[in-house]
Amino acid sequence: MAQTTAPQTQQRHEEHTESLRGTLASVMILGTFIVVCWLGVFILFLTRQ
Amino acid sequence: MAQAQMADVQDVRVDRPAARLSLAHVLVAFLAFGIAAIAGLLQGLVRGGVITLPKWLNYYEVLTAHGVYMGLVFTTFFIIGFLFSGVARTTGGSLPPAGLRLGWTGWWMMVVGLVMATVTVLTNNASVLYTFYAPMKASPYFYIGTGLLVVGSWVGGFGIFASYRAWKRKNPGKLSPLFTFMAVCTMVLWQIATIGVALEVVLQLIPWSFGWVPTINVLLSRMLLWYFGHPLVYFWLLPVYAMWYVNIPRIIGGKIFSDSLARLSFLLFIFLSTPVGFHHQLMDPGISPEWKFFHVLLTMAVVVPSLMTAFSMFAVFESAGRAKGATGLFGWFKKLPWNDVRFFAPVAGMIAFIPGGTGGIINASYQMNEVVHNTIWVTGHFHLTVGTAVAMTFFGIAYWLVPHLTGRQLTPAVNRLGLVQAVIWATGMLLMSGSMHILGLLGSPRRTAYTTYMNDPTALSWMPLQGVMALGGSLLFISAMLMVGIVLYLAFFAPKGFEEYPIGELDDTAETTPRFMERWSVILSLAVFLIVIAYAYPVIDVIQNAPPGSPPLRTW
Repeated sequence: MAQTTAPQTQQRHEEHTESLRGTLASVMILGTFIVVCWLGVFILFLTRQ
Repeated sequence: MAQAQMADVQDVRVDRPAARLSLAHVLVAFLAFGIAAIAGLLQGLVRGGVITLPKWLNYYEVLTAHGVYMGLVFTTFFIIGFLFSGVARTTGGSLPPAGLRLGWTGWWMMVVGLVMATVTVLTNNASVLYTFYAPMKASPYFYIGTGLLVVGSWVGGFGIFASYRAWKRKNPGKLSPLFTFMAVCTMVLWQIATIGVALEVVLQLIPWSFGWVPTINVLLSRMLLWYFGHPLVYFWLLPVYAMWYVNIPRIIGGKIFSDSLARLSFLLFIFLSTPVGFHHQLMDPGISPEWKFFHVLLTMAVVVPSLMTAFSMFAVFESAGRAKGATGLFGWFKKLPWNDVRFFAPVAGMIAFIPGGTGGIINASYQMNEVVHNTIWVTGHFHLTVGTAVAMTFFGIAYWLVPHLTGRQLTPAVNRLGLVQAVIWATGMLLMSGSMHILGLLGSPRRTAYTTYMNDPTALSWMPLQGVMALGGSLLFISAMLMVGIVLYLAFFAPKGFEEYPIGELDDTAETTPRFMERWSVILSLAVFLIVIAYAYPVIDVIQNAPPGSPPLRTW
């Protein structure tokens, strides 16, 4: 039983150091920025019709 | 042991013959950059209403010099020099004799072409801007000069292919080094793209400018130009991505996130960057909306490899930061080497590429193109992409590449000066490009000298921001002069020593790269197939149903 616990702890530690949560958040922010800018100019287009 | 092996790999030095070839390209690039910066300063000050040019100097002549020297000469020379150095560095430190021979032949052809184009621009016989749209006619020697520049770059590309082939022969069955693969992709893309402009120059512009034929099919010439014009952007960008994928991980003490992802993104650029030219011609008559829509569709697809690159960069940064003990969602951000100019300059470029790329998506969307087309927004856009993302990455490369090639060192003092130079450039561009974007949305046109349109109130409302543009341009000029000075110092005066050529190692957990990624017959066939689908019918159509031909015009 003890043998199975140790690798799990190690695995959790590795997952922590290899976490890409920040990357996910960053690409989400990037995507939001693109959509907001695109919509901004699209709204400008609509208001000038 | 592993560390010792790693140190050995990082100690590889580009040997003297390869270094001389690479340095010859890089030095011409920065000479052109300095001249272009002077032209850019004049242009910015005129457009901002700060100065007026003397009668013997035409605004459009200055504009052409700035565009040609910055957009075509600085970039092409730097890219080929950088790629040669990276190929040598990742294939054992040297280039094969065929690579060197072709490299030097290409360099001389490009230099001769550059001199011819320079003479025609300086004598005011080629003030046609860097897109050289017909029916504005330059001296035939301008077209021959720029043609030689392109053909010389092809020969340089053949040198890179020869080096790749020599490595493959020595290492049968092995996957090529990532940087070398990227260099080959860049030059493959360039060879495909420049076919369009070569056809335009050889079959249309040269015979017409010599007077051998009286008129020109303007629509066809624009189509051929933009067949080349958009992948030109990716020719600028791919070496930048190569630096981000391969060199940056080593500089920040991290690992390359994925070899396959990096290669796949480059292959997608080969497939998708050329059959998209009509998004530059959305407002042109003579092309049916269906074809424009098809090109816009493919343009949106070419956004994908850039988004893959953005993801990959964030992943490299986060992994490196976490390996150094960073915690929290964005703790890794603080672990990055912000005080290292080799990192800071390219990353400032990456940040600028976020609004730059977003602007590109806006430009390529039909309705929004109606809002910004031919406004100074577009000028602001490409000053963020090529003028910031690309240029700042080139600066970041030069800080270690030049001393590596000359057997000198990047000293802490030059590193600090480099940080100042990069901050000035980024600030100048923020002011100039930001103003250009806003002015464009307000309707201010591009490619025009200073005018108040007979004191029209709308035009007068643009003036304060045009002043900010001029201020930004002045800061850029200061930064450019600093950069040229630093390059000369690093090349000839810095202390002797060894400056590392940083090449990233692959992450241990990365998956094996699939072999099909080097099946060039399949890759090239697919690229040609997409181009034929996107261009064959429209090109035949504008030849068979040609608009009335235009005689040459001299508008200046």
